[in-house]
Amino acid sequence: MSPTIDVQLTDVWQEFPAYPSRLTALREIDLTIAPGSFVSIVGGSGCGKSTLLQLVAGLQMPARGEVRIAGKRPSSLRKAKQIGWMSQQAALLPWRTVLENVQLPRQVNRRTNGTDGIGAQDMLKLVNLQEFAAAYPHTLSGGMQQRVALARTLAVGASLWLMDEPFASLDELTRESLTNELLALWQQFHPTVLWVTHNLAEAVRLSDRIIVLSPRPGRIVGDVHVSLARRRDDTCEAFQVVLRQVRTSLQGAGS
Amino acid sequence: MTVEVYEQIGRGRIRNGAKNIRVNGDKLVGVGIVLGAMAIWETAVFLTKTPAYLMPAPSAIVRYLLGHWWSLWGAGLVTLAEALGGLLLGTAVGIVLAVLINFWQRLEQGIMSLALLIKSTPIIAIAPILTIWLGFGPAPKVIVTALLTFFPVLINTLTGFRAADPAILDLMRSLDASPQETFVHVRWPGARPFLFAALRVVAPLAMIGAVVAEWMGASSGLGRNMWLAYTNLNMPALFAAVFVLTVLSTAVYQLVVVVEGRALFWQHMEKNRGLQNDSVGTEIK
Repeated sequence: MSPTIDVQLTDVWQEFPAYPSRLTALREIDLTIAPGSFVSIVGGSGCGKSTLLQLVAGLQMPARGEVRIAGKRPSSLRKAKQIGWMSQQAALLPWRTVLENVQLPRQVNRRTNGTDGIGAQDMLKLVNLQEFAAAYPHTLSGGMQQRVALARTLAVGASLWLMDEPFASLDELTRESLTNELLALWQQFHPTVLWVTHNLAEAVRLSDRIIVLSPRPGRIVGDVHVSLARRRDDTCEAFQVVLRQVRTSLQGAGS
Repeated sequence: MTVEVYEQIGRGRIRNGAKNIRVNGDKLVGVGIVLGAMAIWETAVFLTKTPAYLMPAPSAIVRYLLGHWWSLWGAGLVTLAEALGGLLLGTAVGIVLAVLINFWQRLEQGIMSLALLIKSTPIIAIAPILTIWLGFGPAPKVIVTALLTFFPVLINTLTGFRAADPAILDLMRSLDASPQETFVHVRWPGARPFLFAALRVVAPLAMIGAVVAEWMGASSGLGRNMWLAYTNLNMPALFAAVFVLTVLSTAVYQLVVVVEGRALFWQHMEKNRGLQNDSVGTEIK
């Protein structure tokens, strides 16, 4: 896992054909993300957060502009299995056991697999699921399913994690403990993380930097650097200051 | 409750115990209803003095069944073999076509038009032609059955391929998985429930296809028995053949259900999840 991957978006626009005219989802996105940093993208629903993530993953092509990851196109990064993708749905295969689900990333696009991969069992240990290796996804709670998805993301061995509100459908307590675990894993592996969320407090708790998008068409209206020491205390004054700052730039955008 | 217990009985989980009493009770009611209907039928035929060539009494049918069980069994096996052969062929063709369309979308229009054309041609028109071409042996029966069964399999399997979870497809793309890998790991396993849904519909249909084809000319089989009985106005023989056909159709259907239960084990867990309390899930979050 190479720890130095930066992401650069240059004048990126995204449009979708929609009735009656084209729909602009994102405009003039200029963004450089430092290697190994944890960056949150916040904004209201439909502001293009997920679209932005899809563009970085190369799952969509931009209408205009360029996306470069470590100087390369997203597609070559995907070929090299340098992208760990996680969405709101755990997206597990129901006919596979937990362990078999975690093994999936190494079973596809095999040419890229190194010989030194950490075993799927060890990945499960990292998310405290080793006892559930033989269980099937439907016997697990939503939080545990997302843990499996997290282990599967780790198993990719990627140095860029793209996470689209992975814990948004979980209850508050589960969500908090999972984000703490995620933070610990980030500190252990030091990937570059792009984290999409609409939960501002969560963004402040996790990130080195918070990018605020305006309502559609999404455009960067705020760029807040957070330099508080981790683990961050939601109740302390410094935290609240940053949170207010993020909220202000979001409201300033007219949402 | 009862449905759940039935399912478990069907899978041979519970063989004795208190729950069985309830199930046996339900079964008794079922048998009672059938016997009651038979009794009314028997009495009606007796009282109205209906001749057997119009409407045979159940007792006459049973007498025929007992007297000719060996030849009926033989005929049933012939029809069953033809139906299963046709079912296998039709299913294979349906799956292969769906796979072709999955990988080469451009084939869809052509394959679908052709399939629809075959599907909408009455089987009763095709069967005699095939018999003229291929003779009185099993070949035309197998083909008629295959023609009758491939279409639902094709449609359902294709629908299954396309019903793959978009979130999983995104994941596969993020890993740069090839279309073949996505097919093997995601689309094919995910299409199996759709395939089995089609098989449930198509399995009893296969028996009908084989019988219809036999009716058009056959050297053996239930359809031939029926045709002979019909031309001789031997109603007990006709009803007996229908009875055997029904039993075999049900057996084929049950076979599909059993295989489905094995193949789609995870769906049972999905269904049962609401019934059990989800104790594993709540321990750790």
